Amino acid sequence: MREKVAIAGVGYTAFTSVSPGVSYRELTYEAAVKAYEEAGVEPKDVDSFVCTSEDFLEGYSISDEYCNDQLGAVLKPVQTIPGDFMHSLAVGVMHILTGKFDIVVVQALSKASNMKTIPEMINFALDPVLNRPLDVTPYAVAGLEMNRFLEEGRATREQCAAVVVKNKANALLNPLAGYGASITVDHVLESEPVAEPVRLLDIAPYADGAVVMVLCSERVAPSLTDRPVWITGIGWSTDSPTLESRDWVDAVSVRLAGDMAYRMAGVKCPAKEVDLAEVNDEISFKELQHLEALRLFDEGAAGKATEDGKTSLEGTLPVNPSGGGLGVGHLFECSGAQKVLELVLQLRGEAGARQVAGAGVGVAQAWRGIPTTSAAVAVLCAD
Amino acid sequence: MGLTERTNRNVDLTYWEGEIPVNYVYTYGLGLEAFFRALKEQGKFLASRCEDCGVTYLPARVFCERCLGKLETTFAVPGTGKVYAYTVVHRNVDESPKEEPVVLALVDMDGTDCRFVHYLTGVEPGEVKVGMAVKPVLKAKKDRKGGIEDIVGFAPA
Repeated sequence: MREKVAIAGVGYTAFTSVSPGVSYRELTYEAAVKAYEEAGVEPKDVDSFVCTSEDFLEGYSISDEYCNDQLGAVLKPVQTIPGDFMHSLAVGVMHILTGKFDIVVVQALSKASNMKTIPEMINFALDPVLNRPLDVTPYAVAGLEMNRFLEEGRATREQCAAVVVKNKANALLNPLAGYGASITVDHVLESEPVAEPVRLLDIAPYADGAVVMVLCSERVAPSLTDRPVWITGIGWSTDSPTLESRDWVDAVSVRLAGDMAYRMAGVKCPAKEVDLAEVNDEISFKELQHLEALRLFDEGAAGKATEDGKTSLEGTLPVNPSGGGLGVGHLFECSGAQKVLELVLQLRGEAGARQVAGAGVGVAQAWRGIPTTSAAVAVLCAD
Repeated sequence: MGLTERTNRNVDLTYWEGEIPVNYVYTYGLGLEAFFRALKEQGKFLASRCEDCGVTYLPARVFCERCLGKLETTFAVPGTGKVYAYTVVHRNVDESPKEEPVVLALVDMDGTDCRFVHYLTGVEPGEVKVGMAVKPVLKAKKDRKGGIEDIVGFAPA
């Protein structure tokens, strides 16, 4: 039998453009309390905590030291991953699969509204000698990549815009989402140019929010929940960090992370076996690129499928039913958490107006964002 | 457990404005030192090659990112290339609007397996084509400091 890990409880805040009423600690606290409540556990029952934190995003040079108190993890085994929540999720899964831990808590947070200089901060992620001195918005990296993606004939400009239209419409049905809207392809194509072909509406707008999940072993799952969602596969990968030598057409690291997760989950033919997907859509075209990297559509087919409604809520493979980053908001290191959360709600049949019928197997994919090449993928099942 | 009270009036919201002044000196290391010295003094582009992987790196490096093998020799490549991708950029790094949009290109560098990100000069945004041949435009030797800004950009060849 394959090894699997249960998600026994989820806690989350709404995902909003600002969150001035609470501190970043209280955001996590709010999510943590809900997660513990749902799983019927207290912090003292937890064997290990895995947090997600990036110093510059949190505004501390040792932000990992400030992760534990709001989780009830003071004087407990705790570690922090600078990456996406889904990288932390992978660590949590590994802890449980060692057989030495039964209950592990995984956390991520975005308090993007606290940051006064987000573009500069993203620019600091570029090579200081070769790239930073050029003084352009870091979205120029996405502009170059999207230009080549279109040039390769992998999608049309309109198909990329259709991703935005779909995701913002899905977000209207998600009470947690901060950026739902009913717009048209023309709204996207006529929005302000940022780094053409990337325009303002192609970009997931920043948002705040926190997610905490209680993971547990198969052994103790029945005592914590009667509606477990199972993580059956997880994988991660990173391409070259340098702009000079990385691949600019395909999301190679997503392909490798996906294959790793599928292998573990025993998924042989993703396009046939997966019922729904939550993938990174920080920039509109990335959703198409990521869907193809995950083998959910053939090379060059995701754009047409989007245009034809195949990835809509009623389609054959609904993609980003939550609204994705474009509709929920860009949550930085919490982005993957929002995706896993959506799959948990969908697989439990608790997604309300945006419920995907017959959701049994879901794939969540995270990308660490511009200008990175780090990806993580998880396969989740209802039973 | 749980938040039983919240701030619910904007006038009650307060905050502390913090700043983290961070400054660094980034040493080039062996590979970039050689690259920028050749650029500054001879106007040449130095590459290095991993024979095992068949990959030519530009700028020159001292190890291969694929096999971690040591790259022993450097050699000059023309510095010319072809536009692999481009973007018309309307914002500065702080998101303020640019007075005039600039064209940034990813240039597939001839004789290498690498691409350079830099400005395109001497061409209007509407005239740029993927596949266009370009050549580097360097600052005058006396103005070169041994950094990426020694390259003004790439212009149609």
